[in-house]
Amino acid sequence: MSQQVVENSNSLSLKDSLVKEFGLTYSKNQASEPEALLQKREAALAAFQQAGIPTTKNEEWRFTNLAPFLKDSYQMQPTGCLSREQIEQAITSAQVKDLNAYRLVLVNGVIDFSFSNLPENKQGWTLQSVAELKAAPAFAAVLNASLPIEKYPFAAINTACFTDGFYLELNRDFSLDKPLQIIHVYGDQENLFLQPRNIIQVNRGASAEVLESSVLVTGQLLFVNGVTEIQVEENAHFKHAHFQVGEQQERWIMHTQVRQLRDSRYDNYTLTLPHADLVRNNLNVILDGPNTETHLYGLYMVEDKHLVDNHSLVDHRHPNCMSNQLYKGVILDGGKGVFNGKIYVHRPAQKTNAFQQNNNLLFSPNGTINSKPQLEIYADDVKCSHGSTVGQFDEEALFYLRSRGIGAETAHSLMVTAFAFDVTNKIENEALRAHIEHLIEKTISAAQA
Amino acid sequence: MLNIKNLFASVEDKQILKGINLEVGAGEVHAIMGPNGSGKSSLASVLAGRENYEVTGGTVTLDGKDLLDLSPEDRAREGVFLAFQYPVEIPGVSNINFLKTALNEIRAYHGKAPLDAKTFLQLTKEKQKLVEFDAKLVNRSLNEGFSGGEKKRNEILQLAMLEPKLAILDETDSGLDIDALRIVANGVNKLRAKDNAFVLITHYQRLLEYIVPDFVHVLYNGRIVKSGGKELALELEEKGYDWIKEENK
Repeated sequence: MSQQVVENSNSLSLKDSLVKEFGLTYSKNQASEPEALLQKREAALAAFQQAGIPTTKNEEWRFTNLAPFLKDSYQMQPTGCLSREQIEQAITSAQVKDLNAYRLVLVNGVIDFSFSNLPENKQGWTLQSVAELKAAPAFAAVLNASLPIEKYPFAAINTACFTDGFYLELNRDFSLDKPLQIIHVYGDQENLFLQPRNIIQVNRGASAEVLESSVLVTGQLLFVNGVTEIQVEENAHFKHAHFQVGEQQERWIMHTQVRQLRDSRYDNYTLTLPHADLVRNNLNVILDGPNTETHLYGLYMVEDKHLVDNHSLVDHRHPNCMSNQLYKGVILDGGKGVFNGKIYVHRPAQKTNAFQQNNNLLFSPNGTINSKPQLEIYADDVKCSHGSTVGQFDEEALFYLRSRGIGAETAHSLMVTAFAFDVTNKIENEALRAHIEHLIEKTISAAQA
Repeated sequence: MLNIKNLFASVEDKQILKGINLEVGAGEVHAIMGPNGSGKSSLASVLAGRENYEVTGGTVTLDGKDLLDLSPEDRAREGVFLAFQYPVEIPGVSNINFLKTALNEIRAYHGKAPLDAKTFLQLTKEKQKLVEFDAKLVNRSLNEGFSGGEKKRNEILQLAMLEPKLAILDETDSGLDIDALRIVANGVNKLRAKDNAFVLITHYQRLLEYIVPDFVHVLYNGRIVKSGGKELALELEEKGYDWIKEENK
């Protein structure tokens, strides 16, 4: 493989660097991985090479120009280790006040059990590194089970190259008694491009709540091309919150592929606050059984020169499923937001209830939002709705607050908090809700400073 | 207390106030009446600092302090309160948080520490009772889904909490049934004191049966054309506004 690769990686395009990385990991993997997985990786590489890194000519990337983020060169594997102090500091900064939760720590995509605090009852769950798991013969069959990589070049190259990640399995009828906070710590002496692959398997009748967040501890660039596959089986309930609060030198392309089986419920909260340069979330939920329930809540606050792009797909394939999506965006001065929400209702999916709403608040005239709701319905007995709005501050409401002695800055902050309320009040965990409300206030007062 | 001298104001180049002169002393209640479109609500807006109004002449002072130079929030902090004709609904801002924020920002302006939670709740309870405000509404979103009467009562609760020097009630009686009107009026009467003052803006005399003013002024075509005691309101009720229009052609 990849004989054409030249030695000096600085001169390589990101695409070539990724292909080169494939060559390096592939030869290592040949010794340990089953043939079926190796074949899947090769096919994934071919899909990536065929598609290339998407440009704005690709409809799915029309509003998200990656070119400015492709100029830098990255190491594809960490060049060193983070110190215990750095990791401890990162964990402290990721702490949510008053949140009583278990903790799983990953450092540059690799589980670190020594910093983790996991439930003692080991009967109900399994936690394993993907590096270990991928040697198992059955692994290749579950990989990308519902993820068509030919449509997603970044998920394809992740499939081709991933080395590690976490595998979390919740056993049948097991309920996790506290939320699990997963803290992803990243950092290196060099610019780093990482491709973690995580898998969450929620078995029949199980329930759990997971909160993911990340911390970058060094000043170098970080580009994460992550894929998380989640399977929520019959009658299981999985609550999944993702806090994306970062530093300017972070770039994220996150693909979350969820497959729900009958009578299951999946709730996702994606909360993106400054300052990461680029955040692209692909969230696809495949409703692969009847009578499921899905709630997707999103809040994004985008600041100057930054780009947050939420692409989602809710794929109704069976009857009697309900999905509800509410995404709210606050576009600060110079920020750019993208929302592309697709609901697809297949012919057999009668009695579908599918709702989607995207509301945006332009904090300043210099913000940009591209909102594209898409509804494709092939069944005839369904209730579906979608809506998209872009608005500015209600001047009358601002004046009302100010006429009571509330200063302009506080009034703006109250109004943004109120705008976000429809999403934040859906967060049932009080500590999490207070945390996010605090972050919103902080962002707004910084924006006005 | 309030001193308005030769006040001119316009909206989008249209002259609305054309030389208002008014003095309101501490402990007094003034009613400003007048036909629709005479500039009553505009006067209230200008005093509170609504931004689309441009003051083109004259002065307004509160206890000697120039109000026109101040932002709406600083006017409120100096002691001006406008009870809105149409109180705004703000979903997601809780009534209680709104009251607390307003109260503490006013206190901070005067160099006072914020109220602790217990004192604040006690104060809220006390004032709620005073103005007969349903305790359940306090925890709801600000004015969201409130009936017209509840919204107006909420204005009076805010008035009771913030204890302004000068309260301007803009058509507070509009849209109220007789019971709601009585409750709102009772609230105002309980809040009347020798160191504060009220300006009631109203189209009808009805409110003045419940809140008895010391002075009544008639505003027409951007100017105060007649002033008198409470009997002037009765005269207006009886004769309507046509004779005022006639006199000021």
